[in-house]
Amino acid sequence: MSTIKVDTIATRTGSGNITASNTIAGTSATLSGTLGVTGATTLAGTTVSNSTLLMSSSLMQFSGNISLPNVGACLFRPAADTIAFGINNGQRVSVNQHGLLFGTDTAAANALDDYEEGTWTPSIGGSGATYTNQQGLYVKVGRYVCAVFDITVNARNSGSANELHGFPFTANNGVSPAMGVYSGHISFYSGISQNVYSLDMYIINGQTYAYFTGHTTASGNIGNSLSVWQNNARILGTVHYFAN
Amino acid sequence: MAITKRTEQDKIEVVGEFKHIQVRTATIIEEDGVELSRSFHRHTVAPDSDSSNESADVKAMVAQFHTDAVKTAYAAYVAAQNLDDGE
Repeated sequence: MSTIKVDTIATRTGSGNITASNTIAGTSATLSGTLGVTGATTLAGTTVSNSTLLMSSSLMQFSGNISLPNVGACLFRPAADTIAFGINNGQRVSVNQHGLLFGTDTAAANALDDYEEGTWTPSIGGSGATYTNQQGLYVKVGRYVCAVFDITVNARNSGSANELHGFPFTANNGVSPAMGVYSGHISFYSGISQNVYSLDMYIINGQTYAYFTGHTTASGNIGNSLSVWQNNARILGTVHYFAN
Repeated sequence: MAITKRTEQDKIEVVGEFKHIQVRTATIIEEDGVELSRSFHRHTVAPDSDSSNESADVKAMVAQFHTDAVKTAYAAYVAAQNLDDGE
């Protein structure tokens, strides 16, 4: 083992390489080229000015905060298993095992854990019905589901008279079924089986189909359900409900 | 350069007291095996649903979860809603 002492040399220049198998210690070093490190590197109090810190490793670890002072932002760990994004000295969003949380909220029930959109196929239930049009779209944000549909029955046959089936998720509010009725609304209808003053629909907790309801008289209560389907009937509408 | 389209049931979930089976079918467009797009279509299978046209995976879950006890409980729940058929 040998030591090269350089504390009395103001500047050392050269075109070759320095290879060290042990630690190289010092108070400062200036490189005009590239510093290549094949092993782990620990940076303490390092400043990269007017340049870019390139990381080709698959893993970059920080035990402290990542600060972006020019935009007043930082990435930090406000609690165990949580990473948060702050801006202008305030925590704006965080992510933990429950999902995405806004502000400093930590309640699992408020964590946004799902977003999905897609299609579904509305039908009238029962048997034997044929269709000229069956279109359904849905968006699910957290537990909230918005399902829209456009359906035209060609021939009802033994299909249901008052139901709409095929919803993309089971209605589920997670608590008592007594609170589990979700409303829908009809934006257009034609050719339904009776004249109505109003036409609405609802889906019950624990089910994947909805009932139509409405008024067939100018006054009175809305009944449990209302027959609407017959050959060539068309209905467009939207249902909002909760799912798992 | 080959554009291909395929579907797969990428999520099958059992939810709720009555073991509804939620099925998500993904339609995947690929170019030489690299995914270009993915869209979803969903349907649900209730305890009283006809599952004869479902996939083998869904049929297996129907057999496992839609037991006679679950079917009976679900039928009682639907009947308890006391909804006439409007006819």
